[in-house]
Amino acid sequence: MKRAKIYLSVLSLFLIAAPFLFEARYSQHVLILVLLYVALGSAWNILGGFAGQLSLGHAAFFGIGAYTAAVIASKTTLSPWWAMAAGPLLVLPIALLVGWICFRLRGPYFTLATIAVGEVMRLVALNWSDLTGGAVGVVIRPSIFSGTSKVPYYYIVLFIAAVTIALCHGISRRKLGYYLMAIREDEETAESIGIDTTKYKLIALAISASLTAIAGAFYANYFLFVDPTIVLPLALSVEIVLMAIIGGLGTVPGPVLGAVLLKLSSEVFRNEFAQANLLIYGALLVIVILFMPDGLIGGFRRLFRLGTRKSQRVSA
Amino acid sequence: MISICAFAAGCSHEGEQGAENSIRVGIITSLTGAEARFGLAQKYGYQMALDEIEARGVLGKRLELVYQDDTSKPEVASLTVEKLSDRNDIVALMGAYSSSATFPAAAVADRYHIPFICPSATTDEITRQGYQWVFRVCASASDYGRTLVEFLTKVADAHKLAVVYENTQFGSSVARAALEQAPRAGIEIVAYEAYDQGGTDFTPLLTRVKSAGPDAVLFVSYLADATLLMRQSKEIDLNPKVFTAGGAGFSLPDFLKGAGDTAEYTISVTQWTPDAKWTGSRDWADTFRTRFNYEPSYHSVQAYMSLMILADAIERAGSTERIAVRDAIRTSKLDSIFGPIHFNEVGQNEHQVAITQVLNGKFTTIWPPSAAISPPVLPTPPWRARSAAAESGSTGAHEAHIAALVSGSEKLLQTMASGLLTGGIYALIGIGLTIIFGVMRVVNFAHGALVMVGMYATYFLFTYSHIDPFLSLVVVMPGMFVAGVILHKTLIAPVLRAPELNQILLTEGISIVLINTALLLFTSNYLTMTTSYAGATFHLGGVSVSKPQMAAFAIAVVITAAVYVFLVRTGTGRQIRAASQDAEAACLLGINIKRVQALTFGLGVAAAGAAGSLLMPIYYRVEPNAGSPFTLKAFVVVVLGGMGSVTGALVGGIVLGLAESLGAVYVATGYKDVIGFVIFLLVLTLKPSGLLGRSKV
Repeated sequence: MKRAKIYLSVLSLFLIAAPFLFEARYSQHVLILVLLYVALGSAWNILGGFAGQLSLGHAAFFGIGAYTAAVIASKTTLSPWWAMAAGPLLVLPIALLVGWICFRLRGPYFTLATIAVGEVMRLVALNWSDLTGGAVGVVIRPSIFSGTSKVPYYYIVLFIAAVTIALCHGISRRKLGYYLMAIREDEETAESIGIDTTKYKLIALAISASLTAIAGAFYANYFLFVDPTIVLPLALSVEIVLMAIIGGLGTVPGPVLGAVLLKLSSEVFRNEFAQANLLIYGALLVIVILFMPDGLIGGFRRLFRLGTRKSQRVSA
Repeated sequence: MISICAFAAGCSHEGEQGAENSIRVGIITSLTGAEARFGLAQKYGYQMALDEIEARGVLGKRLELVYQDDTSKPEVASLTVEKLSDRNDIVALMGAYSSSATFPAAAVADRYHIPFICPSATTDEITRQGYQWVFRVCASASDYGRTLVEFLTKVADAHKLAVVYENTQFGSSVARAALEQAPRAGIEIVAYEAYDQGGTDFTPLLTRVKSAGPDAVLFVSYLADATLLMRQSKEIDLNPKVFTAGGAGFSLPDFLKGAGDTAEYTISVTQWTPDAKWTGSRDWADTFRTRFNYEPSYHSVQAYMSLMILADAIERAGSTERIAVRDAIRTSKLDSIFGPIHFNEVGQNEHQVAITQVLNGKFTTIWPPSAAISPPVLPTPPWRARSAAAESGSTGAHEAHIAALVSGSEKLLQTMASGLLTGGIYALIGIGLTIIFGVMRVVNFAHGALVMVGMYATYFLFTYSHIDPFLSLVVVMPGMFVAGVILHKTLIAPVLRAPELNQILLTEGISIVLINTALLLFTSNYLTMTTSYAGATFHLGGVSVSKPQMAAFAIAVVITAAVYVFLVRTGTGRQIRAASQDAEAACLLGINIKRVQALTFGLGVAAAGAAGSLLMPIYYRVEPNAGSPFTLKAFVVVVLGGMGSVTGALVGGIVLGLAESLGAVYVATGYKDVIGFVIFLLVLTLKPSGLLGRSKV
């Protein structure tokens, strides 16, 4: 426990100092993207990892957050940063509706339904061009940080990621977390011991979707351009899930580790392997899922446990 | 941790050495992903410029290109600008390919004050932002619109225009320009239809257009869609006075190959043609052909020009200071193979677009009069007159043009017919997925990629062994069956006990690997094939039915029936059904469950391959992403029919096909996929066992 605290404070210090350690804009940009995906993977994990509701439609919530910023920027005189507050508010009723439809379904049926929800959102954004600009998208003018420095953005996204992780940690140690895990392990049994499963699944979805919308609002303010292919593709939903699976489903550090590794490795591959970069990425994906079915965290744990067991045997 | 270190090290060391004797230029283009074939065309163009500059150098130094792959994603394109603009040894940037990638990339470049030249992004937004560092070589979308409208009023004498455009940044920019310009010139817009890029069947859309009775049609599409739009216009006998197009797919050399004789007479805006009267453009095209054994397109020329403009600007600036280079680009004055180069105050090169018509299978410049090589052939002869002319040997342009209006009932029948036929293909793709799901509960995300493999196999069998696509089923299906069994034994079986999301992601990984292997082996270029019966139709009471589509439908039904009989009548079939109902009980009864699963997976993959074979005579072309749109469609089909049910898949496929085509004709083409997904969600929530209920086969 004490050791964990020391690690954590060293890591926090490193993260706070990072923009000064990596002064190059490109490195800062990659760090910002990594932290954004840390937040997205962790937010997804609340619903997908803890409650076991494997959504492949989270791009919808991300897109709603991002489009809220875009619409504020194009239709009002307010700062698009208000989307950080308005996005989650807007996403809540939609998330509840999605939950109402999809939570009747179990297993792969639920997953397929969330894919459909995400695709419907994308198609609506693409075709409702009066509001969203359609395929042309929306350009956002920088409103608060008009300079070229990335440091303010870095700290904002660091804050979002930290809050998301803290929430995950908090939930995993409280009643809500235990209920969610009970639902994940056996929904019928959870129901029979008096857990209102639909209610708790909806709570998990609401928190997860709101956090995702906040990340989406940040993305729009940082990237300054929004169109359906950028903020609403199925590929984004898949990428978010990948972070959590590769890292370790249902653990707090899993999605964090997954996001850091996947984002950095795809960037390294893109720089090193030219045309073959996606091929190598895909092959690696297959290998990790085959050989580390419970993610890197699980893989490490198994390795570690195996190691201790062996040493015990030796000492015995 | 290792990768963090590598990443930090990569940033600080990269590209510091050798800066003094070479000048570096950052190039952003799509080497992978959906736009990779245009990235390749650009790469050839840059290479041409580099060859030319190599000999003399720039300011006595070597020019060095630093390529960055944007993987066809806007987010990555802007990331590469972040990366390259940070490097002091890089003088300027150019790229990307598509409008949606270039636009955000240009914004970043302007923010960081690095000269940025856009070779080929046409969206008007780029020059409307007040950027100081961004220059565009090609003409913009509104230039396309203006030139076309001018041509339609002055030359074609058209008054009713139907606009059909792909719903992308490029497509909607050009369409919007036409929508704004046409009324001013007295042209009425009678149809304005968006469709999702990579369409698989345009007959409903074209039926809708036909019933609007236009005398001119404007298509704004990329290659794959362009080919299919023209072939299907012939199939449903759409006969406007003139077919026009907003460049892109319609002005690429591959269009002539892909669309075959249906390309004849189409008129398109283009940025450049090899026969253009500009200085040296013919010689350039010849050099290009010998160098790359590839027909040059305007994308290559634009890339070439961008680098030539930059080299000239650096030379004139006498320095590699970014600001000096930018000011020199602004005052560029070149007489080039792309016409005169001159940037206006918003950084737009005032490029004159040309209009070409396909005459005798070649792009011929017909407009503006100053550049025209031959007069346009107008009006376009109707389809039936063309085939008659081909038989009688005359040119056949004399038959009077009839603006055929379709009656309400004909329109409905045509829509139903095309929905039904498309549904047959959907069904076949769905069957493969449904039996895999039924037995293994695996949601196979690689299904579309497997269809693509079937398409490539069919293409190669046809092109190199002259085996008819319908006949190639005999080879493709067993081959794909074996591949499926191997795939199952090596990759799928080990994860059957893992959480279902792992299985989904594993199959997604397999899909990425298959698509990118195809990309490396066959490049991203379309491979097109034309069978002798391509575009053949028969007419049934005013409804035209495509013969290959009809044949594909019939074979799909036969295969479905065969699979059904196999599952019901044979011992192995019974074992498969037993396994899909209760795997453990089946195991207890002595069924070798592993063998059954491997067989089922092989069967599912064989069905996907068969769908690929049947698609080729309808689809005419294949590229690495050709199968991708089918994955989601297959899921919809499977859910509609009830997971695991073969007869259900047939019903589901037909229901989806009909819903899409009716939706496209009577609601809006852009929302046709929404209709599919809404039905899907309704069935999932209200009747999860599928439309047929509790059927188990």
